Amino acid sequence: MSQPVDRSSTLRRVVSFLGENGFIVIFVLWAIYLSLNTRNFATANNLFTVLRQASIIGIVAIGAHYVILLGDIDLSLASNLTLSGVVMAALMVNQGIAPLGALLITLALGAGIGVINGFIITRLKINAIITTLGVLGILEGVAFIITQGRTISGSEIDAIKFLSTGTLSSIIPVPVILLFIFYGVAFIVLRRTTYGAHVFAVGNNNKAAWLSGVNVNLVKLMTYVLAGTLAAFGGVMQVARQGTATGAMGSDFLFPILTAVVLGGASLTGGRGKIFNTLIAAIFLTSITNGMILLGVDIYTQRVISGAILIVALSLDRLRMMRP
Amino acid sequence: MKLQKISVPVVCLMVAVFSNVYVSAQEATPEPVMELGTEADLEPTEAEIEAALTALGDDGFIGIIACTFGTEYHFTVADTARQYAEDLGLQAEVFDSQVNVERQISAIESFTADGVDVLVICLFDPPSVLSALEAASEAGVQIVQYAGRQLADLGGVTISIEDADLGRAAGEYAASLITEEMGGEANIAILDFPDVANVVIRADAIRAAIEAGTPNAVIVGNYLGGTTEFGLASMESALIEHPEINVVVSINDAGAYGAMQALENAGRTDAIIVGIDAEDQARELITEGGMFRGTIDTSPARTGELTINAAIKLLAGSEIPQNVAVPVTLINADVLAEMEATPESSS
Repeated sequence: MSQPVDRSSTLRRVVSFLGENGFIVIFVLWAIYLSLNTRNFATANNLFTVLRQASIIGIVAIGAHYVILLGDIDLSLASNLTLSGVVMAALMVNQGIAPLGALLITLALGAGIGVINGFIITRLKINAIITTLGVLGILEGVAFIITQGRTISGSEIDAIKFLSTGTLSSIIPVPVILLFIFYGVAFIVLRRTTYGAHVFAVGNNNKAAWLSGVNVNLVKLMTYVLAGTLAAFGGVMQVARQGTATGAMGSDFLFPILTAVVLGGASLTGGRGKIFNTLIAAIFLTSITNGMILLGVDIYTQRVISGAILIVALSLDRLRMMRP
Repeated sequence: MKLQKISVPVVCLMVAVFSNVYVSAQEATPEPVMELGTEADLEPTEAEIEAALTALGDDGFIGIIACTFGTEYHFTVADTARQYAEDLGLQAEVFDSQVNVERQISAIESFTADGVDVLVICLFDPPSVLSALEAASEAGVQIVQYAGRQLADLGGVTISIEDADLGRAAGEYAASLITEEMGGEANIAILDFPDVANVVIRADAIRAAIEAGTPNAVIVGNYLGGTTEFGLASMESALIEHPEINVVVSINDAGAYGAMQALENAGRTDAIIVGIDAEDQARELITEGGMFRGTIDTSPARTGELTINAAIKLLAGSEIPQNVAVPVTLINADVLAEMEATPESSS
């Protein structure tokens, strides 16, 4: 007698589960498929390679996630990464500044870019997309002015290569450790601090947050500074990773950074998102390219398959919007 | 409303994915077979320079539209062209297309509306901008194309290294090293960049030259390169599945740097890497004597000067060959040592 009711409730539970964890389900299926069909996907060496490759996108995506929680978007993150990387390399190679000094200056630069974004958006009331798009162009231009189209390289960069190739106990890569530390801190800040609560409040309802006494402009400014600083650190890590810096070094980062946040389920209208889902999405995105290389898929077909995987993952994730 | 929420991101993704596929799948426009001129044919006389200055007048200018500033080659061509033009007293403006078709079309239209006399342009997707160039040509703008030869039909002058020549030179050099040092047996990765139709020609020529030069060598696959990060990420993954890879031939130096980093990270010192572009860093790496063994000189600075020489000839109304070839030169340790010994040869 009660069978139809049970069936309906089971279906609802399945839809609910897929709605909450759709892309993770696809990720798990993809990982299982690769484990069964390649020799090396499930090896420690490859898994650490995937995590290492995901580390820079993942760390910069934290900042993107925070900004999207506000209901804004920061399109300048990848160009911030580029300029910061160029400045870091130029300070070390051309100016002979010690790595720590160069790092501090670079992080200050990234934070400064965040201040500019935040100031324009909160004080001049210019839309975040327009603001960060404009800043994107400026930062790219400055990076090219500094590099003059050339590659900055030199043995001085070797001093920071541990950020890319260093390992803990000869096993766990340093960038992977950094990735998880950053996400741990980002989670705590979001879920256990007043500032984190204010980020969600502003993203959920700007005016209600303001009426409740939240300094909306300060929360936004702090968030852009945080995102800028993380992007700068991403630039430093990228210099360590490739051993050089160029005016285009971050040009291909923006799409995967934003995709990681959106695929992770953060709402573009703000106020909703799980930081660890962004981490998983960043790893998933990296594993797609890695997996197709391991499978020996030709370079043209790779794009079709990666697009299809993303569409399926995103579509499943959107089931939550269809739930009654 | 629900459907809207689902469809927006999905459509965005589909557009992003399929626009890339579309670009990747395009074939380069078949290039007309014509007699090639040489650099000497473009050398302007004082009278021609004067005539060009007169033709430009106070408001005229030469518009230089680069494919990108993101690589040393493209930046150097555009920047040298601008500097060379200004040294001769010719007004020149530079635009970076950022490998974006829409930006390039907008630049062509804007320069035309602004009264440009000669467009010096690098095309990465010729069919997509042909209409805009035809409109510019009908408006009286003369066109000089570099890094390709697709505009000859439009009456444009082309200053170009053939991508096929570049790929062939890199492939032949890699094949000769494989034969001499590896007994003709090697496992080769080709770093490709299928977004740009002309570069596909380069990668295909690399493959053909290797297959012809070392038939016993195995080409493991084509991997995404073009930038240091792409070359690095691709080779990191490729080396896990194919640790036997011991030769990398790249469509440019930037991708080759990434491959070298990946090989070094994997503790390898025994591989052979060959790039294209002859960037300063590539020359340094070759001189150091490590895995980076050779690169192909695309003569970007000379190409930049030649484009302006062609513009001067056009402005002066002089006879000019429609296609001019820039020579392809192999740069390896021996060549660099020779340049060091005789500095004038390097200039």
